[in-house]
Amino acid sequence: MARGERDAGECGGQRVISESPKVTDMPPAIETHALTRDFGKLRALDNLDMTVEQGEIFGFLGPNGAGKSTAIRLMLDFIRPTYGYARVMGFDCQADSMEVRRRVGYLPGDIRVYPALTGRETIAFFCEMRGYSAAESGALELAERLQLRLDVKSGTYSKGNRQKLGIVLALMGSPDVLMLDEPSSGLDPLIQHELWTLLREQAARGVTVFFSSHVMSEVEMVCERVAILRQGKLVALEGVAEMKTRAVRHLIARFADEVPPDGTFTFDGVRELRRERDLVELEVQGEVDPVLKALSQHRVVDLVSEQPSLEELLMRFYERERSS
Amino acid sequence: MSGDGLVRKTLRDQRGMTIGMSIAGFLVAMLIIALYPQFADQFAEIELPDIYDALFGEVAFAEPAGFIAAEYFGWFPLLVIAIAVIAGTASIASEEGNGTLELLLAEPVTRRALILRKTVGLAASIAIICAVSYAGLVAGRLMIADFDLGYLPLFEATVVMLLISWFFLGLSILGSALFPGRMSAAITVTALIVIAYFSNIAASLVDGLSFLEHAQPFGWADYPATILDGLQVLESALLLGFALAFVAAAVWSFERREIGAVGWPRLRPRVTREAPHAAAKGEGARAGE
Repeated sequence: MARGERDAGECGGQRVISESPKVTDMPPAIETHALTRDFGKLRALDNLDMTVEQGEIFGFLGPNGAGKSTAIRLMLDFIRPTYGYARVMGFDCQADSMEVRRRVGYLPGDIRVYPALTGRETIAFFCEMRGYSAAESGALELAERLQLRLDVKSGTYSKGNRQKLGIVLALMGSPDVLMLDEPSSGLDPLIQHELWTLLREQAARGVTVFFSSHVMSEVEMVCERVAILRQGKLVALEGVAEMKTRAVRHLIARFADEVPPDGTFTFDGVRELRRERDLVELEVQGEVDPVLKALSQHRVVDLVSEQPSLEELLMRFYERERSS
Repeated sequence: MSGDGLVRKTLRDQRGMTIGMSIAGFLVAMLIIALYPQFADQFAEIELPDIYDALFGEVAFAEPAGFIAAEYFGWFPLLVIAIAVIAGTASIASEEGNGTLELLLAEPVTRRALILRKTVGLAASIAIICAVSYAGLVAGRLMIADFDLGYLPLFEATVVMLLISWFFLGLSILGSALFPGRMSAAITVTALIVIAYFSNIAASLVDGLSFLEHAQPFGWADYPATILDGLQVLESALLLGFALAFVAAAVWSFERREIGAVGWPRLRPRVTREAPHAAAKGEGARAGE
């Protein structure tokens, strides 16, 4: 049964609320085609083609102004595309906007809440909008896990507590897709850790987690795949692991005796960066197997492999984009 | 979706203003009638300038009908209108300005339902103020035996006050849905109110401008005529009809507006479903996919 067809019932301790018209068999959680948005002469989003499968944790990366929030706002029909379209759980984001929003839990980038309402009242208000009670939605348990005090006015909340409340509002009621814009913003490291645990749990239950960020380390830690945007254009869309495997890495080998002669490491994708009496530093793009086999012919006393962080990868993508 | 929550929240947001204004309305209405015996004697001896006739109609100020038309319905409805404008212009524009509109619109609620439920909450809040104020008139009437005016004329005049307040509430909600910020909506609506108010005065004072009396809402809200002759059906229908038309226009514009987009125009573009490269080549659109 497609997630869009879920019946009301129990799922992972939380009541599943969505009852929807039938959609095609297991459509992608998110699908965009040529999604483009102009603001006057500025093209904020340029021909975005992207598919996010159900149950994936998907990172949407890019610097400020890259078009991440614009894409999310298009998916929620706050704004309309100049060209192209987006679908969520098989529903068109413009034509079936209500069905989309019924299935999406959304956390805005800069969450604002009603200052006169307490956290508990805010939760009750949004639960009522969705037609279920706070107890049914699992919101109270979520708030407890995030250590959010619910009986004080939201107006007195710090940025971090507002963010926690926003996360509770997005996650409550077991939506099919979570669209989180910079979810860890303002959270302390312990709560961030709890948030990543929560998101992994949601994904394990089949919920698609789509979150934008410019903090590479968190994306690296949580996501399976990432899309990288720059100036509205998609510059990369692949798995974090593949991206890192494909990326250039540095190998530093220290030998017991003198370094092997020139030409020992002449392979495709391998470049010698440094050569000293007993040390060689190589830049390897792709598999390291030929290099390791060559090294095994010599007595190696130390071998350091430096894998680039996602941040470095991102910078390289940007540099490549700029130079092209 | 349950809409009651949004109506209740709107009422709750207006709670302070509604309670304060209702208490003020009750006390003012009661006290003004309580003061009637003193004022009646003085008004009987004073010959008022023509402008009073222009503003309040040719009614005797020493009589209860003229007295209440001038001393209560001459200014108190303006306060209720001010409340309607403050609340109406805040309805959408403040949510957008405060950043809470995105949270609301991310919920499975249509924009039409959002505006209509907010409108119901605000209209109910104004109705409560008018109802409590009418209770003040009744209380004053019960206290002062000399105030020889029936409950029905007072009720009908209160209904007119409610209708003109709803008229401006509808206009304010339209402004709130159209304009990017509350300030621009409030300034525009206030300017329209001032123009209408002074048009009404000018229509009464200048013969050549008398046509303006029937061209603006203050002319339709004729309290002296209502108190003396009963509810003016056509004028009341105009006030209510325009109020509903403004809300319909607010729904229409809000459904077509972009949220959070910077600058004008903020109408949502029609979806062409045509890829940019296809557009450049002049290839067919994929509309309807």
